[in-house]
Amino acid sequence: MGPVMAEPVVAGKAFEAFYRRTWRDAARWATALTGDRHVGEELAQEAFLRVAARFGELDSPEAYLRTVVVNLARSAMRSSGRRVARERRSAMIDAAATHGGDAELLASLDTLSYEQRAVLVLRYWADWDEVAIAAALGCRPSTVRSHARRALVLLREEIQP
Amino acid sequence: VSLIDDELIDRLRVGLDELTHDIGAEPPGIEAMVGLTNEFPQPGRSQRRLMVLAAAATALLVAVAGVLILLRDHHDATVDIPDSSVTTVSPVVTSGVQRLAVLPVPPTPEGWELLEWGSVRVALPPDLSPFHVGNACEHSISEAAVRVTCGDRWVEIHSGLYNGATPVTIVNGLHVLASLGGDCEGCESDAVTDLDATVSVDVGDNTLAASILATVGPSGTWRFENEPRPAPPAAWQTVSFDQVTIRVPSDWAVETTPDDASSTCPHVLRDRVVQLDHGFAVDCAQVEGLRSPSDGVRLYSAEPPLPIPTGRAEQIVTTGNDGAPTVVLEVGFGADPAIGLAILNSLASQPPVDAPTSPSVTRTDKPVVALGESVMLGAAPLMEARGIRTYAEVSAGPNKEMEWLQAALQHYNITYGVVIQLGSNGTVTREQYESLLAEVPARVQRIVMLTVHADRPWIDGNNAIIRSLPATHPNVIVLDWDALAAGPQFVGHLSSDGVHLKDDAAKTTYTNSVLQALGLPT
Repeated sequence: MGPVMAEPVVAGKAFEAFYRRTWRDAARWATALTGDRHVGEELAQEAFLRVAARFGELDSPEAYLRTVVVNLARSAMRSSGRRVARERRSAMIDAAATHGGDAELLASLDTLSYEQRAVLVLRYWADWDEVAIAAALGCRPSTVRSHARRALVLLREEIQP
Repeated sequence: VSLIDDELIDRLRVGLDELTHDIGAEPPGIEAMVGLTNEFPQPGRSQRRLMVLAAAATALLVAVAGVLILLRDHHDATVDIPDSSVTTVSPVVTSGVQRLAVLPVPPTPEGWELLEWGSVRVALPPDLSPFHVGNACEHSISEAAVRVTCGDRWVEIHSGLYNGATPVTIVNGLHVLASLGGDCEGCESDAVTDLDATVSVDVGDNTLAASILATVGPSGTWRFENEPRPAPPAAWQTVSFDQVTIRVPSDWAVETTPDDASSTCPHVLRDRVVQLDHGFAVDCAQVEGLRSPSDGVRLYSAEPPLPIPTGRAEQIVTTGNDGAPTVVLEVGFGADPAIGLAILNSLASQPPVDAPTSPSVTRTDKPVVALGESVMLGAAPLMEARGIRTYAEVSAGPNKEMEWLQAALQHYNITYGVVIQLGSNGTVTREQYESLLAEVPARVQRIVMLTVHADRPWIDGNNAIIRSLPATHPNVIVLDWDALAAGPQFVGHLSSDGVHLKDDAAKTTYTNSVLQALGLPT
């Protein structure tokens, strides 16, 4: 085998390892950001396709994967519209009920803006630091903090009787 | 974060854990996904940048084409281009390009349409307009120009990018280039000169080309490269520089500046002087004594990129057919643009020393030549813009007009008409009028004789002779300027002496009256 074929194979091995290592995290992030497991897994697949297209030249494939997942989830949420949002909320409540989760709280996430929801999910559940969240959302860390404060206030108001 | 928030966050974690509980650790489609990176070589950063640029350029071209199509479709008139009326003109030694920034823009002929590109607006007749459906015109767009092609004729408008190595290309034949100076947006290359806009016209017809160019503001007067120079006033002094010879008033100070590339002397911006930033240098010692071009003329050679004219002065660029040096001429107009125009018209290009001399003078077709006095001088720029070769001067008499007519006959094949106004400045005899008419070739279809208008004792006698001329000269038509000037339409539009054209409206009406008498469209 000549040198022309050698490089893609090496790249393929590295990507396979990266894919296996990060798949579950990406699928969980996307699911939590959209509130729908099926949508989340599809978005994760799409995100890995995009990472694969640039894998050989990325300094930090993980950082790029995070950004792609957040952006794909934002696009999915914006394009879904109110009807799909209601369906997603219903599916989320069903899933939470099946596994004993907090259906009311998860449904309340849909009342937040995407940025507020993403900050809550990524900071308090996925344990991303503020810098990583800011990079993925395309904003400053201080904006992340303000989104978090505002989101918690809104969430409290939403679930209080 | 309060205790309440801690509780909320705990509930959020639990809920999301449950929501994502069933997501497996084994990624789906692992073989297909990994295969992607084996099968398709990924473009590098530079390749992706090129792809993005190509996509952006394509989108821009599509957008511009769409706008032009919309503009074209907005006009629904249909005009058929008649058969080509291209006139073959013999090449002559090139002369130059001129623009008089202080002259007004003549009115755009009715029915013409504006073609815009960059900062240039050019009005085109319907048969040369790309906006008419059904004619033979096609327009094409390149990086820096839009070109309308109608059979053998074309009009091209450049948005302003000029390669510094070839700033202005002057060619033989019917070809006119005119440049307007200005800032150049988007000029990134050092090889690009900031010429804001350039219009090129080749429509096989000097008259039509002049009309098109006359619509380009803020200029108004152009000269064709294939057009021989008119005779300068006899008393003017001659100034020569390299291959260029001009005539200027005898009392003007004239100096030439040597081309001294080693000098670092900065050029000074003076009142009504062109500022020249680059491309040449002058001898500091001579600069001290150099008078402003507003008092005279300045000649120098220049290397590209050519300087950009600003202010009220004028620039002429000439070059020979054999790659002779580029020469720049500055003329200060002072208070009278007509003086500047006369100087520019006197520009003559001399053949190279080793060039074979032609035994005969090359003459070009010229539909109409006009001879006149100070009244006509006021309208001369407009008449020139309409293609009428106009000779006019303050206090011109029968001898001067005879001299002009003979000079014009040497330079031109007058194909259609002659316009004569004579008699404002003194008594003219019937013999003198008839001598002029006798010089006009028989092929000339129309001779328009204008009566004269002034409060002088000789006016009535001269007008009586003029009005009688058609009886003995069937090709003579009298345009009764005396009656027109005394009519209501010129009230307030003549100077305080009641003789000369005061404003643009008067000059336009005068020009249109001449055109109507000639049977030409106004």
